[in-house]
Amino acid sequence: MTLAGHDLQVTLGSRHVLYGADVSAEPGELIAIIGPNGAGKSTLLKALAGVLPLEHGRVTLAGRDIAGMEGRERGRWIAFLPQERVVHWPLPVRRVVMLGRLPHNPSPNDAEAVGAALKAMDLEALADRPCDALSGGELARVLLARALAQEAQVLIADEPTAGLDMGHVLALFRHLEALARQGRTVLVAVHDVSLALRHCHKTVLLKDGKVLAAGPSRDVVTRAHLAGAFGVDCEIATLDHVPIVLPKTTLT
Amino acid sequence: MSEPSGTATPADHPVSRLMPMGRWALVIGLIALVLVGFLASLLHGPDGFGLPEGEDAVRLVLLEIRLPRAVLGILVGGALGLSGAALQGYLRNPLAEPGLLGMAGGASLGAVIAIHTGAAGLFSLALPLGGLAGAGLAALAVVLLAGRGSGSVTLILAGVAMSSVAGALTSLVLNLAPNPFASVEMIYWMMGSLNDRSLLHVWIAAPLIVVGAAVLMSTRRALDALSLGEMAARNLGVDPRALRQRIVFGAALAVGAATSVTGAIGFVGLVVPHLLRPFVAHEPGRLLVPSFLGGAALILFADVGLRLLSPAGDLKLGVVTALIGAPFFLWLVLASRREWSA
Repeated sequence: MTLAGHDLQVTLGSRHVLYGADVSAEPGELIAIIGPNGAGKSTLLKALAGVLPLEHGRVTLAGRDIAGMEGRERGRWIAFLPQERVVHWPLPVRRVVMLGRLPHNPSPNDAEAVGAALKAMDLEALADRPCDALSGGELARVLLARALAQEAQVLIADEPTAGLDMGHVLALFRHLEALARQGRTVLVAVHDVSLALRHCHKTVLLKDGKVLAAGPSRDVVTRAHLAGAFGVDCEIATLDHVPIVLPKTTLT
Repeated sequence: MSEPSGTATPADHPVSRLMPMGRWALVIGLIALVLVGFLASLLHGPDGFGLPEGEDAVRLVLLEIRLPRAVLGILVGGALGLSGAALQGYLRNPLAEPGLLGMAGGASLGAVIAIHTGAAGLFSLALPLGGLAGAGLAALAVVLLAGRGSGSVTLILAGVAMSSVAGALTSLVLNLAPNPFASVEMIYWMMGSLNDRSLLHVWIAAPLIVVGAAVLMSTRRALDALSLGEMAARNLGVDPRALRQRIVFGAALAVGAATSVTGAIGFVGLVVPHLLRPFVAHEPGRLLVPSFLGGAALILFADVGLRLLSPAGDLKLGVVTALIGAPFFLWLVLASRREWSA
């Protein structure tokens, strides 16, 4: 099931946040969205998830325009984790994760999906704790578990690693890789470009609302591209088969 | 993430304060409370609890005087409690209350105009009908002011603006009252009361409140989803514009109809959802039914209580709920402040 964005345009105020972006994601792919602040990463992900009205262009899932889908049907196909990490009431963790089942409700495997999502995000011990008694990283995992509980073909996560400790970042990407191996489509915005190089099959590099480069991660995350997009001179190396991107100096 | 994270176990956290009761225990308990209040309201007369002598008298008094009062108590209290819970869930703000969107102010204005023009003296239904017209116009104005978007901030601003306009116009009507008796009648009406309401009032309010309550109840899942913010809610299938329409329409019907038959009754819609929220694990959707029942019970008991305190009927229900509500609310604020600073 291919998720594709064609010529996406979004304007906020007088600013072109997305200006003719084309993106395509195939089943089994884990794709990183990278780019400097304000490049349009979040807007692109919102557009692909169908939660933002487009000025121009369209997003298709297996050829179907997602704007034409009923909201709950879209929620069964595409799970979206927004960057804003809010739970407005001190709900228990399990109830928050259960909200991911709303597009399916009622379904016989609701409890199973919630249980699996809690386990995947290492939250079983916290399941009955109210959300206001969690650390920032724990809350991030709870919200990601909500998106996992949706059991959608496509998972779109906006900076899922922000606030996570290094152990949970590694575990998160192990889980995302496993989802991709199951044939799901996974798109994540990340700030740490090493993660793109290390874990993601493909990378989309955004700048000023346009796609600067897209393709296999090692072709996109290059010294030249990073210099062009971020204005930073980087050293890209491999240590024990783990790729590392080391920012050295800002270019002026 | 399969390896244990080494974080604290739930045992050392104050889970118990949020532990939800069994799903039905709370609702059943509240229903029992409403029934007790309903019976107390039916059985209480000018001579204390009991029924009048003679079969015809019993029928007349129960059916024509006490039943409307008790039924309206349930309907009006329920409408206010439910609307408050729905608005708090929608705006994700525990300070929201049914009067916020301007419908209660509109209803008061309509009723006061009905008194001023003398229509209320010509036929008794002029008051509730005037209130309904006012509430309807206020709701329409709020919808037009807030525009076609989906934002809740514009809705609050429109509601606050409408409330101010309605309040100012109500003052104007009071100011221009033809004689002191009319002013007193208006002021008494605005204090809110279940005195001397007839079955006709029930027939006017009941259908509107029932429809409004049903519309508000239909938002329960959307309100749950909205706990995660608007973007996540959209992803879970919530259409924010349709949700806003349902909230405004449902609250306009329920609050408009309630205020039109009883006058403004404050604090019920604010305090009841607040009080019941911990018992439903703070879930906005699950809070709706208990808030209806809790509002009904509160109004019934407050009404019986004020009749016990002042059998002559000169104590007004809205005054009593405010007298109970305001200190209680203060206590809530202080309690939550202690909790946050702890």
